Amino acid sequence: MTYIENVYICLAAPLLIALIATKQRDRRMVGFLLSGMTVCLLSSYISTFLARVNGISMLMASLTVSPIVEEITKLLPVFFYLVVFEPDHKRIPGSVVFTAVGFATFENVCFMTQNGTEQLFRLLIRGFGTGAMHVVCASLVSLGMLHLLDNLWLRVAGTFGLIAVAITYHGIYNLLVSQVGPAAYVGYVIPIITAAAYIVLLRLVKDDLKTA
Amino acid sequence: MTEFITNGFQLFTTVICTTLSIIRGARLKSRAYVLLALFSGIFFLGDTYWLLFYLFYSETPNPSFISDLSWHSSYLFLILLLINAKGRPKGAKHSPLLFLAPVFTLAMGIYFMQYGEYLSNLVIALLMALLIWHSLDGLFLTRGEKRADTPRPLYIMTLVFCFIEYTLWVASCIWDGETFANPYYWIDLLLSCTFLFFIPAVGKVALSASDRISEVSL
Repeated sequence: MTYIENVYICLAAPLLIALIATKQRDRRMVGFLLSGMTVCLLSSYISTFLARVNGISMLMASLTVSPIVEEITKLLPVFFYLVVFEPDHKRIPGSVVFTAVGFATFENVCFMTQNGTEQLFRLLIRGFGTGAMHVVCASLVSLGMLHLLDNLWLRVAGTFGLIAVAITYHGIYNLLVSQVGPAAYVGYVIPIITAAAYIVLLRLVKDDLKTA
Repeated sequence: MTEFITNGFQLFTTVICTTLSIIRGARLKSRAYVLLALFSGIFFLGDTYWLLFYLFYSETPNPSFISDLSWHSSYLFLILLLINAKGRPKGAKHSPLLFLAPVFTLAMGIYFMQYGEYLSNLVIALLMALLIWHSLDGLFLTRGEKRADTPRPLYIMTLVFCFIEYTLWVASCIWDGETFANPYYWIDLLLSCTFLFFIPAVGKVALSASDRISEVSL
């Protein structure tokens, strides 16, 4: 049996020290990294609870329930930051990305404790795949939240819709990577391609704005 | 097999609609095209999730929170697209005919509750009421309008989409069978085609200056 709380404590301790030792921007980033790992632990508890309540296996829970729980909990630290500290818009994308990276890191640690560390290629592609998937999903929500709509209540509705986009995207990813063979690799590659396309699209839009 | 063909065709049309909307949205910096991309894109994701689950496990997802959430959200983005296109003048009154929309969707919702879940049908009734309300309201507001950037085609397309959706749901309650003898599959193909007609319909809205995304700072 793996005591994931103990793993969490072991990983979080150096980050807690870094939180005390750093200031301003660095502290904020370490804080979001730590909160990403914390909500990952929290979401695993909630998913397990919901699986028991619905009477489904952990595999089915990871395909039907976990994406919803994970995408919502992942945004909690950012929402807290937005509501309590009312930060400048420029600071939000960084906070979203670091929370997602913290989440993906802890999820990968959980994966390794359960599945071992023998297959380097699989771990390599999974590391990039999971990282890209969490960053893409979180960035999608923050992008819409900040730029898509002007009116407050339209922004709330739009944010809800974008969370649903992220949840479905995450669900498809989990479905594919739960398979064995080519389907799993397709699953791991999709977020990497999405992230690359997103970066290219952003650069095109920025270049276009500069020339305009 | 029939299910795979119709779903495959729907994936094809939604992916075409999403790709073209993203390209046009980026080129014209049009908010309407971005919202259309989100509408068809999340519909595509919901279909993909459903189809992959069926492919891997030979059953539909249970609980089906994710696919339901994605389809409901696609309606939400269509509502946002209609609101974004409308620009209601101050003091304009709502036609009393609009109140028929929630009455109709609620009645249909109660009928569908005999076959499905209460909450899901209630949410669909609410979203459909908003879609029909905003489309009809837009049509009444732009009556007799001859501007090049008139959003009237978008309102008409949305009403057609809602009509086909309701026909599809009623067909699923009446007819059974997994061959093309079942009208359900033909209506499903028709619904898939509507995504292609949304692109020119939104094109009119994208001509409007108020549709431009003014700032992208990342």
